[in-house]
Amino acid sequence: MSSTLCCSFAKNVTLRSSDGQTFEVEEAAAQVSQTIKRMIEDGCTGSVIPVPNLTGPVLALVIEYFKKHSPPSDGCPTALLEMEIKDWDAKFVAVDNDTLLDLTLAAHYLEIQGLLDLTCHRVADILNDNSVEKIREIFHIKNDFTPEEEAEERSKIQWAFE
Amino acid sequence: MTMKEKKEKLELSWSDLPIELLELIISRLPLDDNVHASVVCKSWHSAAISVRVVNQSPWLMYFYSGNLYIFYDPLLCKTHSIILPELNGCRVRYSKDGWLLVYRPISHCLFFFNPFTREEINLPSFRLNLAVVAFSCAPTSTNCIILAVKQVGHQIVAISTCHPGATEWVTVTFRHHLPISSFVNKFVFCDELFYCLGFNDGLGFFDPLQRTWNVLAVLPPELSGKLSIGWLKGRYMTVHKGELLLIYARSGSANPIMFKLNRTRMIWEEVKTLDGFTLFASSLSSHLRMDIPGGMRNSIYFPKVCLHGKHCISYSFDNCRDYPCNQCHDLGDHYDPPENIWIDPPQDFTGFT
Repeated sequence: MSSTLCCSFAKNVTLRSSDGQTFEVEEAAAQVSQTIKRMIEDGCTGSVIPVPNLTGPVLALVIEYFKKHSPPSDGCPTALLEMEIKDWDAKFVAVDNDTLLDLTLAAHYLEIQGLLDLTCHRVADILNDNSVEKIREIFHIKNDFTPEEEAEERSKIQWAFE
Repeated sequence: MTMKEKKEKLELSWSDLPIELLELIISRLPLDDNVHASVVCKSWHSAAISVRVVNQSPWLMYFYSGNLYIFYDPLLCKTHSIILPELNGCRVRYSKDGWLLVYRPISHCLFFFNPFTREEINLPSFRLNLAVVAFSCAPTSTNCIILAVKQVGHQIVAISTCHPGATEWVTVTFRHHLPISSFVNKFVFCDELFYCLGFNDGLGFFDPLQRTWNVLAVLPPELSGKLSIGWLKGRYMTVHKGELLLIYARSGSANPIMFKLNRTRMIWEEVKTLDGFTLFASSLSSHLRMDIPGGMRNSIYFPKVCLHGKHCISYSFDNCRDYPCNQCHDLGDHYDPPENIWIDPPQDFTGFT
């Protein structure tokens, strides 16, 4: 009984971005990230936890995600709450492509499976809706095939372009 | 922004995503989009290739003469022929997961046969007569169940089941209103149940674990109104993402019509597209496949090869037309020879030696 009570007290940790900005967040929320969870378990909680791969604005976004996805203090999430979170998620990744890239990399680095699923899904949707030329344009990707190489690749898979 | 920061910002590009992350994203794409992604740039190319899944098409197996059978690969438009003395005096009754269920009437012998490995798996003796047979999955799987349904009296059916390794069949009889005939009825296994479609009757289903038989009051779409254009050439039932799918093929310029069972409203609802899937239809068993390459998607392949073994008759939902053109095969030709059947070759199987 007493152990359940003691665990429900909110405990905070401080995260520091690559550009030196610091953010205070509930420990339970930050543990949505497997990477941060491991650091906390390894005893890094005394001082500030550095997150060198993320800039301040990206870390701020990720912390928003943490807060929304931190485990509810009163046990199981309800169906209604799950639906609300799903809506929130959809809005959360409806961002410009640079931010989407930042979030994808952040989710990968911080091992946030839910966020990674979300961003990958969004990227897959963009790829699904656009031509090769448009994909290069949207994601600022340089075509590093020579014209001959590209023609050869395309001829191998002509059926997909019909 | 300092020069250094700017440079860092520029360096972060979608083409420099870690390969494992790129693979994760591309692995979520259907085959078409995977192929498109592979020509975006070189790093995307290698990621797309490494996660690309291309499914093999089933082959059409048909009897030629003597013990000679032909296997037609619709993807490469290639035929392979092989002598299968094991099938002498036998009739193929069902196919799934690369296995055939075969009946030898003279010895009342029902057995599984894999024409690629020539493996045989025997089942207890059974008088099939006019029974309809089906099986749930490959006989090498522990979940494999074989079902045989036959009419044994006025409005009485006997449903028998067995599994590989069993010593006898277990038979239960039921009173019901679905006349059973192997030419008419379609059996598919979906969600642990065998479904049976009659002609103008309901949809029956058998639960092999509980040994219960029920007939749902869901009638097949009637051949009236829109459906009356052109006569019915064939009816096929299959499973699509856990849902029952029914296809009517019609003669002449009338296109095939497809229905999906709406289980809430208990009616067949018309569907307009196969969602990129390919249906391999035959009267004995029909198969739906995804990620089949080429122009084969969103098409129905009928169990009939024409133009001297070069082409299979197919219908494309995208182009709303038959291939080859209608005139080539519609002059009294049979769309669906009852013994022709689709079978999955093993992965990377190139041909018989």
